[in-house]
Order: sequence, then structure tokens, then C-alpha cells
Amino acid sequence: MEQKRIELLRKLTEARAISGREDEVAEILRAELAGHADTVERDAIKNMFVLKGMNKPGPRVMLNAHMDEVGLYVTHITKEGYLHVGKAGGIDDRLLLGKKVLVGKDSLPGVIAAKAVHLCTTEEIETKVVKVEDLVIDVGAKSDKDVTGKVAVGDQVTFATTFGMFGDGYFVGKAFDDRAGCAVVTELLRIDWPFPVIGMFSTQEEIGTKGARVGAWRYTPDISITVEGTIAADIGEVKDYQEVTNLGGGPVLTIKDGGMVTDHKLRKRLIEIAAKNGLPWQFKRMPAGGTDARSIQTAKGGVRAVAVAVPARYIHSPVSLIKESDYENTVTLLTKFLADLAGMEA
Amino acid sequence: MHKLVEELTSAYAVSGDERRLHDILRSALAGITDEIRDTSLGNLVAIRKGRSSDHALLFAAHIDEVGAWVTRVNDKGFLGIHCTSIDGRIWPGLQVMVHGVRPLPGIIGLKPVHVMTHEEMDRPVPDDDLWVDVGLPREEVVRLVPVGATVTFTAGVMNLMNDRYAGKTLDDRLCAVTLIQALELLRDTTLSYDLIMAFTVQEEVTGYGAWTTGWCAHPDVGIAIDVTHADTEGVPEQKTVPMGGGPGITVGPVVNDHVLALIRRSAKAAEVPTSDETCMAHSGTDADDLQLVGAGIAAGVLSIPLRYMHSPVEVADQNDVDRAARLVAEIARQFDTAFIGELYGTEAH
Repeated sequence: MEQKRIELLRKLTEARAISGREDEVAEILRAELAGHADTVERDAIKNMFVLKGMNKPGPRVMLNAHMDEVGLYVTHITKEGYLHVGKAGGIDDRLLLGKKVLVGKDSLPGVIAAKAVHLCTTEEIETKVVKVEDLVIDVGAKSDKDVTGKVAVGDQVTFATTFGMFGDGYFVGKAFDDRAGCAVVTELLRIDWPFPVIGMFSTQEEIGTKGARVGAWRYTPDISITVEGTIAADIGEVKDYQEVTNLGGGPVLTIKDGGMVTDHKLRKRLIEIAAKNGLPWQFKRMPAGGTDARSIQTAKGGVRAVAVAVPARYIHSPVSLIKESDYENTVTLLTKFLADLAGMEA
Repeated sequence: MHKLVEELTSAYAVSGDERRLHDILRSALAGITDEIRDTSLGNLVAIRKGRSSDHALLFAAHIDEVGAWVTRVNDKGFLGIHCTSIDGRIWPGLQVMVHGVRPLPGIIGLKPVHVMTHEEMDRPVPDDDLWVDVGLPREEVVRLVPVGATVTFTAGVMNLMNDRYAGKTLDDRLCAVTLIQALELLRDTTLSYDLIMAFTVQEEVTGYGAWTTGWCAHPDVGIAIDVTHADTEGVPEQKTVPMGGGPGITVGPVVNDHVLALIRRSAKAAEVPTSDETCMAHSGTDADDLQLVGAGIAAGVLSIPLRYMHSPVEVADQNDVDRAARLVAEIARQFDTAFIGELYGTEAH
């Protein structure tokens, strides 16, 4: 894969942006797309729109990915200088103990405290899940005074995970959900299309697809493609029929998830385009989860919407994996699809 | 932070693999010791000669680390593991290193909530359900990772506020750093007797490193230096010592009275603040073994306060390491004829 593509993924996944704090990602995207947009604007909920050829004829196409990631946020600072946290988005509490994090605007390094094994009872270790409300973050402070001006209640806490290559053609990092989608959409927006294109980098997806709800009202397309990083459970001892998707299986097409039924016509066309170009693809094989596409689909009188995703293992955790080939095939499939669209009835 | 902290904690050596650290230690010890020996089990024993070799003072810091062992490879090429001394609740969501034919980065992930029952989410992941993903086809995994390969936390020291830092294996590599810092402090000092710095093996599993080192080095006094639990949110105060409060001094039957007195007066002379902690039958350090070697070694225990022991994010305060180094150096200075008289004199019993 081209170094430039890899660097885009690195920059986007290492950026820090829990729901409501998406600015860092937005600024990276703005810089990456400089020269490729007619207009770039933010709205009241801080979605970022990248508009191209809005006066051109043809269907208005929305390309959407969300900028926010799951993480934590500071809820309280103790007198001793420890930070209590809450969850921003859905994270299994069992993933949190003993992880390295970055806190607040200055990326202050910290660790999620894990009481020494010697100080735990066997019963605790075997039966008790440490819930997020019982966790603290240790930044090395000796008292609350040490963190004054550096950490405030409400500050974001993100996992200190760096991007890299992994195993046989994988990328490791945090927040592939949905920076992989942001990267794919960025690549598609760098191409000039003969129809109007609305790039929508949405906010607050992880806490209820909120950005997309108002964003799709502001610029309502005829067709919308949401690009996601979606669940792959092809791991450990998970049974075949529960894998949902698998890495290396190609772009993921959703028929139905927890929030919507996708547009049959667009999905069918995507499959035809994949077949015509010899690209692998797979269905999401469990009707669970939800994406911005559900909010876009129901904007105003309704939008033909689909969701296409890069499969990712261990999403909503401190570290996740995607496969290089899946990323590239997703970009290729969508590029071919859009190229074909000029001659297609929406 | 001493540069050795990063170097020594970045190396990987689960009990049994300690020779992987020897090169780093040897180069750090060059010029500040007179003799270095590698014992059968892989203890590295460094000797700083005194005016007389009639007596010797030994400090022991263990250099092995906690970890897991690969027990099986499943159909998908994921690795099953077995571990002791680690809270299994730490593993999910962690990046690890698998030490097979060559080191491989791995991930221990959880299956997503969509295929998880509420009942599962309310209890810790059983050890048998922890699988390491190395992102390779099964055939490759089988070729590269034999059963029995070790699995460790991933290296990387993270600087925190107030000269504190977090990382893996501060237990007990920080104490190895302490001993080397002490030797650096003693560079221009002539000692009465031999000073032996032992970097011991297998403390986390058996204590055989200290046991065999004690026999090889046969010192008069053997002081183990290890880590101890520092104050931790949610843990009763009496179970810990203060972080940043200086080294801990253990009081109890493992520790010889004269050695304890030597440690105390050295701390006073070096103006090093200390905290007392107690033990009964076991201190949980190399001292337990040193005490019983041969005809017996007068033992002592020093410790560096550490939070979140046996986790990938152990936290220590460099000020405590610096103070411990000053204390070790002072004990070495005060290990003289007068002390030997005290140790073996009629007043000893």
C-alpha cells in the first residue's frame, strides 16, 4: 500500500477525539482535503462538510464517516490527584484495567490504575469485574493542585495507542472505528466527480448518531454512503456463525443492522460492481450495531442509504486491527461504484 | 530517570530467560566493578573489591519478570496462555509480545458485545478464554511459536508528573538500576570489604537464583532489594508504604538485627527518608532464600515503593530510586571491621 495512504491512517487513528471533542480530527481532514473542496464548513453540532460541485447535475451523493471515537472523560479529580472517569461510548469495562492513556488538552500521560495482584483476593480476581466508576487514572500527581490548569472535569481521555504494521498485512491502532472510514472518504473526496458530492464528517456517532441526524437535514442527499469500521469477531473461539465479518474477506455490506434496512438497489449495484471488478466483499452477518446511515436515511422525506465498512477486530477497545487488503478493496469498490454512478439512475 | 530504566525495562526476560539482560548489565557495570561472573543458572554476579576480601556484603536484585506461557494454538491460529502471579483481568485489550522463534507483537482482545451475553460481561474473562492474536496464518503461527514460548507485556516507559513513570517490569529492574547507581556513587570510594551486586534469576517463580547466588558468593550479609506496594487508591494505608517517601525497610524474622541496625544508621547518615514494613515467615523477596543458604547469611530487605505491581503500568518515583541508591552506597561504606565485630561478637546473641 502506498506510504501516503498509510500515513493518512496513522495521522487519523493517532488523533484524539471522543464524542464532542472532534476538532483534532476535523483539522487533519481539512488539511488533507485542501485544494479538493469548493467549500469546507462546520455546523452547530460541529459536523464538517466538504462540498464539491454542488451546482453540477445528477444525484447529490453524500459520503459520510464519523470523526469521534470511544474513550473516557474525566468526571472528578480527587484530593490525592487521581482522576475518576466515565465512558464516552460503548466499551466493555473489562478492557480498561492497566492501560496507558492520554488526558486532556495537553495529552497528559496517565495509566488506569490496577491494584497489585497481591492486594486482591482470589475471589475478586475470579469473580469481580472492576467497573468504570471504580477506576482511577494516575498521572503521577501528588495532589489535586498538581493537575490544576492541566486537567479539568469533562476533559477527554483517550487510549495511548500508536499506529503500526502488524502480522501478515494488518494495521494495528486505535479508533479504526471510524477513522478507517474517514480515510476512505478522504480518498474519495480527492477525486473530482461529475455530480454534486457532500462529504460529511460527522460528530457524536458513538453516543447516538447525533451529528448525522442534523447534518443530513442541512445537506440532504439523494444517495448516501456511510463508510464505517465494523465488527469482526473472527477471533479466539467465537463460533463461525457468530463471526459477523472476517478480516481479509473484503468490504462489508450491510443488509440490516440494529438501526436500519439499507437500500436494496444501491446494495445490489455495489455487489454487481464488486463482481465486475473481481473484488471480494462480504455481508455483515449479524443484524446488530448501528451507523450514521440510519440517521441519514430518515432525513426529511428519506434518503437512499447504504453502509459499507472495513472489517475491524477489537473495535471499541484500546487496540484494534484492520487488514490492509480490506482497506484497499473498500476504496477501490467505492471508487468504481461512484465512477459507474454517472450512468445510473438513483 | 536513569537511562538504564528504559534500557532494562525494555528487555524481555520471563523467569528462565534472564541471560537476555546480561549484555546490558555487563556494559553498565564496566568500569565500576572488578569482576563479573555468570553462574550456572544465569545469575550475574558483579564484585567490587574492597581492601580485604575476608568479608563480603551482597545486594541482590532479581532481573526476571512475570509473564505467561503459550499452552496451545487453536484452529484459527490464536494462542492460548497460562499465567501465574498476574491478575488475569489485566490482559483483555492489551498489546503483548510473544517470544517464539522471533518476537511477535500480539493482541489479547475480547469478542464484541454483540456476541456476548450479559452474564459473560459481568464476570472476568476466564484464563482459558484469553487468546493472543498475532495476525498470522495458523501454519506460520505453529512454525514461529512453539508451545512454552513466553508472552510478556509490551515495553515502553511513560513519563508521568513529578519524576514518576509507568511501564512494565519496574519490578525488579528498577532495583538493578539502583545497584548500578550505587556503584556509580561509590566509584571513588575505597571499601573495607568486597561489595557484591547480584542480579538474580527466577525470583518470580522459585527463588533459586538467590539460593544459588548465596552459595556462589558466600557473603556475610545478603540484602535483597525489591519493590513493595506503594499507596494505592482504594487500598488500606496499612498495606502500603508512601510513594515518594523513600525506600522501605523490612522488619521481621527474615531480617538480622545487626543488619537492620546497619541499614537504619546508614539511612540516617545518608539523610534518606525511609518507611518501615513488616514481614513474618516470608518477605516475598530473595532474602527468604539468602537467609537459609549454607550455614546462613545475615539477611536484610530494602524496597522501592511501586504501584500496580505485576501490571504493564507499574508506577514508581525516580526520587525513591535515587534515595535507595544513596542508601545502598552508604550501607556499603559502613560495612567495615566495626560492623563485622558487631555481627559476630558476643553481643550477637
